[in-house]
Amino acid sequence: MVGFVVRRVAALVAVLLAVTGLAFGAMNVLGDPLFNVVGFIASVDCDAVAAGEVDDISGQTAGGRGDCEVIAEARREHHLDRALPIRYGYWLGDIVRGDLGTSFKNEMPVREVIGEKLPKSVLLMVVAQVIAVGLAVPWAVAAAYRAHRPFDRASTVGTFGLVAIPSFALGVILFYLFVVRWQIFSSRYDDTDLWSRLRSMVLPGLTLGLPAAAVYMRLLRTDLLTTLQEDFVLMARAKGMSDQWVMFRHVLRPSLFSLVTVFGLSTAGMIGGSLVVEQIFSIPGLGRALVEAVIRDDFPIVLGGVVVVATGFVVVNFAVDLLYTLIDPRVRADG
Amino acid sequence: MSGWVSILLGLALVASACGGSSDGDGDGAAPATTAAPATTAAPATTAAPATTAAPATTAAAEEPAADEPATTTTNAPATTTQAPDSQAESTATTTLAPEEAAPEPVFGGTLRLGVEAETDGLNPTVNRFAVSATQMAHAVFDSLAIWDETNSRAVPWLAESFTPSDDLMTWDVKLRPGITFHDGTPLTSEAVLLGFQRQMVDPLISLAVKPMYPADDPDTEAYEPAEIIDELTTRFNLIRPTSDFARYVTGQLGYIPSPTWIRAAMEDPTLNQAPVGTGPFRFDSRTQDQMTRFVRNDDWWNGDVYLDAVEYYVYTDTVIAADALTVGDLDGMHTSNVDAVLVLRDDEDVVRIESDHGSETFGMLNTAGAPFDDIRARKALTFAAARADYLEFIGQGLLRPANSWFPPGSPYHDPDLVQEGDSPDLATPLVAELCAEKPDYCTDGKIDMEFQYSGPSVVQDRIYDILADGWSDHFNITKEMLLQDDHITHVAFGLYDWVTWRQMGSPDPDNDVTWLNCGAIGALSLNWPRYCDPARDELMYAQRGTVDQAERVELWKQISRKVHDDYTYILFTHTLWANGFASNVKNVCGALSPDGVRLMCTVNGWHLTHQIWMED
Repeated sequence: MVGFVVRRVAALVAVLLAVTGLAFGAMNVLGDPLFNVVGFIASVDCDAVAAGEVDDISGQTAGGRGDCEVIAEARREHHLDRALPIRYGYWLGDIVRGDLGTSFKNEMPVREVIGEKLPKSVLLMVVAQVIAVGLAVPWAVAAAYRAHRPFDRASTVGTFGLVAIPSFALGVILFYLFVVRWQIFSSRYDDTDLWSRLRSMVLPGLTLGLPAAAVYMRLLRTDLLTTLQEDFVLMARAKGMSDQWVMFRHVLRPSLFSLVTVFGLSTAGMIGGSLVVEQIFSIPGLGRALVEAVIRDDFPIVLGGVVVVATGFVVVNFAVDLLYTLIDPRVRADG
Repeated sequence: MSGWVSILLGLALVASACGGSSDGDGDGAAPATTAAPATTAAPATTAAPATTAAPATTAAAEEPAADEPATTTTNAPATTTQAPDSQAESTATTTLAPEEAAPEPVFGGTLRLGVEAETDGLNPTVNRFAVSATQMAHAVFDSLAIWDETNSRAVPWLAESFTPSDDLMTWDVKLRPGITFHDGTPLTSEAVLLGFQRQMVDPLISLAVKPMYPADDPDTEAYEPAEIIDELTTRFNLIRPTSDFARYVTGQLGYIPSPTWIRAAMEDPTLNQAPVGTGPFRFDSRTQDQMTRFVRNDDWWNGDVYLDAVEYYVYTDTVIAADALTVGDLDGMHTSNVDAVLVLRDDEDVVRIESDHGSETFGMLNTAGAPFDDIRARKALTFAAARADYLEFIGQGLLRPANSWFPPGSPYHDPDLVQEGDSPDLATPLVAELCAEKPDYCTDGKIDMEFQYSGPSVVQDRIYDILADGWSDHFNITKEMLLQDDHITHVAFGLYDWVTWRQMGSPDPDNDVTWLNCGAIGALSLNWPRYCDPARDELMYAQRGTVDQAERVELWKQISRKVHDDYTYILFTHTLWANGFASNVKNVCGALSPDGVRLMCTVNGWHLTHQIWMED
C-alpha cells in the first residue's frame, strides 16, 4: 500500500510538472507576458530610445520614470529577461513556497482568487455528482431488472435524449422553467448560508448532473446485464434468494467498475468548473475565472488554475483506484 | 458584445467618466449658461434650478424624421410605465411617471442592481471605469461636478465652485467645506491634487488627462499642471482656453478618493477593491464576479440617504439580468443589449428608462495606409455599406440609424447631415478608377482590405457577415477576429484597415475632442483613423474656448460636416441604453444638487443612488 501511495504521489508530481510546464510554455509563447504587465508601452523599442533615435512611444511615464525604466523593472520583477525554462523554474520555486503570484488583471493574490472561486465549483461538482449517481443507480437497476421491456426501452430513449442535449440548452430550459416561469429558484448564486448555497446549486447541478446520470445509467445498466449472466448469479437465484437481494447484494457491486471509472474522470473534469453553467446561473466559479484569465492572458491565474485542476484530477483518480479495491478485493492496491 | 473596445480601452475614460447621454436636452439654453465661465460657479448654478425641465419632446416634435423617431423624455421619479409598443416611438424613449405622484420617501431596504460587467477594481486613479464601474463608483465616491437633468450641463457637486481666470487658461476648483471621507480623513485640496497626480502618472488614464495640461517639469519643485491655492482650492493650469472645466470632472476624472486610502493602495493594490470616498454609501464587501455591497453613509454631506444598502450583482449576460428583474431577484439593472431590452419591454411591471443619446456604433477606416489613405476607397466603402440590413438584423427595429454623433434632440444635431450607404452603384466607378490608378491596392478589380473586429462574439460575426456581403462586389475582404485586448492594441497602433467600434456620445461633445484632434496621432494614437485636419482642430479648439453656446453649436455642426466629408467613419446606430427597475423603486430621477439643481436621471446606463428609496 505504501508503495502504491508513493507511486501515486510521484505520478502527481510528474503530471503537475508536465501540465504546468506545457501551460507555462503555451502562455508565454502565445502571448506577450510583458504586455500584460505594462500594457501599451511594452512595444517601446528601448534600444532605439537609448540610442536617441526615437522618443518613448507614448510619451508616458509612470511614477516619474520613463517607459523603458518601467519595462526594465517589469522584466526584472517577472524574470522576463531570463530564458523560458529558468522562468519556469522561478515559478515552480514560488509554487513550492505556496506563492501562486498575483493576477495581472487586478493584482489580487492568485491564491485568494482561486480560494474564493474553487469552493463554488467544487460544491457544484458535488451536487451534480450526487444528482447523477442518485439518479443513475436506481434507474440502471430498474432498467436492468426489466431489460428489453418498455421501461428499459423508454429509458434508453430518455438517456440518449439527455446525453444529446447540450448543457447550455438544458440550462436555459431549466432556467426558463424554474426561474422565469415558475419562480421556484433564484436566478443567481446566493452565498448567504449553506442552505442558500445548496439551493442555488440545484438547477446548475441538474444541468450538469442529468447528462452525467444518463451516461452512468447506460454504463451501469450494461454492466449489470453482463453480471446477471454470471454463474454465481444463477447459483444465488437457485438458492432461492430474492431478485432484490441478488441484485443489490451480488450483482451491483461487481458491476460498478465502469461507473466508478467514468465518475472519477468526470468529477475531475468538473473541478475546473463549467463555463456555460456558471454563466447561465451567474455562479462566480472557477470555470468563468479561468476562461476570462485565458482570454486576458492573465498567466498567474491560468497557471494557478492549472495547478488546482491537475492536482484535483490526480487526487480524484487516486481515490478511484482505491475504490476499485473496495469494490472488488481481488484488485490489489499494489497490483 | 458588452465590453467593446472603447470600454476596455480605458482610454475611453473621458467618455465613460463624463457620461454619454443627453436625454431631454432639447433646448440649448442650459448649456449656454454653463458655458459662461463666471456663472459656472455655484451661486449661478443654484440660481437656475432646472426649472427648464426641457423635455426633449419639444425638440423631437421640431425635428420629425422618418428614419429617426421622436424622443420622449419626462424626467421625474420612477413610478410607471411602459414605453409605447410601436417600434418607431419606442426607440429612444424615457418614460417615467410625474413627480407629484410620488409619496413620502421611506428609509430602509437594500437595492439590488444588476451590472453588465465586473470591474478590475474601484480605484479611480488606477482602474478603468466603464459603465458598470461608474455605476458602482457613484455610490462610494462623489465627483467634483455632475450632469444636470438635461445631461448637458455640468454643475458643482463635491466642488462648491469652478472659477476661471479671465483668459480661461486656469480654473480654480473650490471644495465644499466640512466634508470628511469614510475613513475620517478631511476632504481638502490635498486630496484633489493627489488623486489628479496619480491619474496623470497612470499609463492608461493619463492618456485621457495629460493632453489638457502642461507637462510637469522635473527640474522644478512646482507641479505645473495643478497647484494648491488653499485648504479647499486647487488650481488647474490648462494649455488652451477652456470655457467649462466642470464637464471634465463629472465622472472618473472627477472622483476624489481618500488620500489616506490612495497611499495605502499604492503599497497594497488589493485595497483597490475596497474603495474609500465621500459618497452616500460606504464600502462594505466585495466578492469579485459576484456582488459588491455598500451600506449607507449616515454622515453624508448632502443630506439623507434612504437606502440601508445597495448591492451590485454581476450579470455578464444582461438577458439573464432582465429575467432576474422580472422575477424579483433584482430591483434594477442596465443593458445595451437589444434582446435584454425586449425582455424588459415585455414585462408591464418593469419601469424603464431608455435613451439612445449616448455612445454611437460605427466603423472606422485607417487613413494611414492602403487602401484607405485614398478617399476614393473610403467613399466606395461608405457608399456600398449595407446599412439597411445592419439596422434590420442588428438593430432589430429598436436602434435608430445614426447620421452623426448627435441624435435628433441634441442641440448639436444637424438634420442636413446624412450618412450615405446602400448605394453600391456609386462605389463602382470609384473602385474602377482607383484600381486603374493604383493596381497595388486591388486584386481582380476589387480593393483589398482587412475587416477586423473583437471576438469571439456572435453579434460581431453577424455584423461581419452583413457588411462583408454588401461590400463583396467591390472589395476583397480578409476577416480578422482578435481578442479584445489585441484588437485595441492593433487599432491604437494603426494596424488595421477597417474596424467596428462603439464610442463618442459624451454629454458634452468637447470630451470627444480627445479622439479627433491631430495631436492624438502618434505611434500610439487615440485618433484612431489617424486623420489630421488642422482646420478641424481649429474648430474644435475654438468651441472649447468660447462661452457662446450658440457659437459652439454652430462650430460643432461644422466639425460634424468635416468628419462626414472626410469619410473616416461609417456611422450605423445610436446605442440604446435601457435601465429597468422594479415598480417599488422610487425617485430614480429625483436627485438634487446641494444648490437645488435637478440632476441627471441616467447617462449611458448608469444613475445615482442616494436619492432612491423603496416602497415595502
